[in-house]
Amino acid sequence: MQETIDINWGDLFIAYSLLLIPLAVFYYLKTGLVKETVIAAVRMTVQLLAVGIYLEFLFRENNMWLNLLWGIIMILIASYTTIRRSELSQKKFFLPGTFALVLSISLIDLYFFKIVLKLDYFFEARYFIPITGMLIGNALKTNIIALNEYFSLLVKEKQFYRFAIANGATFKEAILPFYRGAIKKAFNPSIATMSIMGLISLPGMMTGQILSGTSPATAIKYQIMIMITIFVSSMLTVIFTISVSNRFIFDDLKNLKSKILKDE
Amino acid sequence: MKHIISVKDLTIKFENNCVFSNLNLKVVKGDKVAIIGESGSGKTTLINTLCGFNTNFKGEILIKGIPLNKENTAEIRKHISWLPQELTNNIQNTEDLFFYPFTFKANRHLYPSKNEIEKIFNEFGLSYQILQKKVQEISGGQKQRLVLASIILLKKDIIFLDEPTSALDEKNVEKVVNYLLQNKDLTIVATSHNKLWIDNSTKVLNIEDYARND
Repeated sequence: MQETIDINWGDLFIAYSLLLIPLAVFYYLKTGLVKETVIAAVRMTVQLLAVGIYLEFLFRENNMWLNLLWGIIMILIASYTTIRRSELSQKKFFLPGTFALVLSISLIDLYFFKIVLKLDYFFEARYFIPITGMLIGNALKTNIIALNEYFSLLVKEKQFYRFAIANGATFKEAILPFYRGAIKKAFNPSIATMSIMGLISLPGMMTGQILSGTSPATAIKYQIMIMITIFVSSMLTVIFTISVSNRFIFDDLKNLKSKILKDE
Repeated sequence: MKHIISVKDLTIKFENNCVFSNLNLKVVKGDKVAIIGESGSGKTTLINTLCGFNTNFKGEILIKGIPLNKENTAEIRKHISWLPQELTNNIQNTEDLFFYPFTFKANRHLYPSKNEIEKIFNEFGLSYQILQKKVQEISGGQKQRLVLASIILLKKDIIFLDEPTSALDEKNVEKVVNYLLQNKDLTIVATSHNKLWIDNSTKVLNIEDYARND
């Protein structure tokens, strides 16, 4: 496999200077976006440099504990972000959220690396880091939508939940409409993305692989695998998170506790 | 067991604010109980407590002789049905809304026949065709009667209703109230401002009689 041509720093500098074109347009149109664009470009550079440095380090060491630690930190950040963005209380949801992510990502990683790729070394940085990262990132997005919908429905339609529970429903039956609402809302975008895959733009992972010298035939197989595993791991994450959370938000009588949302 | 509901010295406080204290209520089978009182006096709180939604009370509540507590709430809920004041939900079709309680495993054997449905719809001034409509298309009053009919067809021992006629016009209030009163078997506890219900009920509980004045 031919190495991808590196971009030298001089060329990168010229690329930066190309930014002067959009900056000039922003300036000319008095959009007030000049400063924001400069800040964004600086942030991008600093953040990517940092990512580059630590990824270089991880890839060079390729150490199981370091890679595992990286995965755990990613999950902790993802869990924290999910709860914050869902307006839920960190105190109640952080542990269940983290637990759910660890469980679903480990299961799918195990399947991908051991059963599909048959890697000898499970924590092989080249596979473990990008794939685990993509699974976590996407599970995070879906989980936020699902939790938001589930808990806001439960608060908004609290009487409807009670109606079910008071009129003969078991707990599982009573929460079914809320589960359904959350799952539908969270997975509609994923289904849409899957159905237009490859039509409007080439997916990022596949593009990256082709650029680095992988044949398109292999790249699409990876793309299909990642799409499916993202779908499944997101589903598992949502189901696990809601199931674990249910233990904390209903009391012994299956009445909804107050104060599940941050501001309540 | 003489009383189907027996409430003894019931006191409810929310964060130092006493809603009512030492409330007593005895209900026998077939009773039609009207719970009255100003808005905010605790009518809904009382109904919610009797259904097991509020565990923070002092006193004793027996439903069919079973003490209402953590262990027994699930058992007690098998014998009751309850209609809240408002019922926001996502159900699109009136048919699904009407049959919703019958989808629960515990109620499946109670699935009403077309005959039964037509009979109660007739009493409530609803046409059977309403089951083909979208929930959005029917009025608040129709929705209230539809869900009430569904609750009654569950044939539970005790029916708790929170303002069951609030969205109805005079003509339909009369139909619904008369139906409920004429059904000797039904035991109903309902909060209401409706004069017809209050005047004809077998018991009136004015919750303000138990308001603490200290």
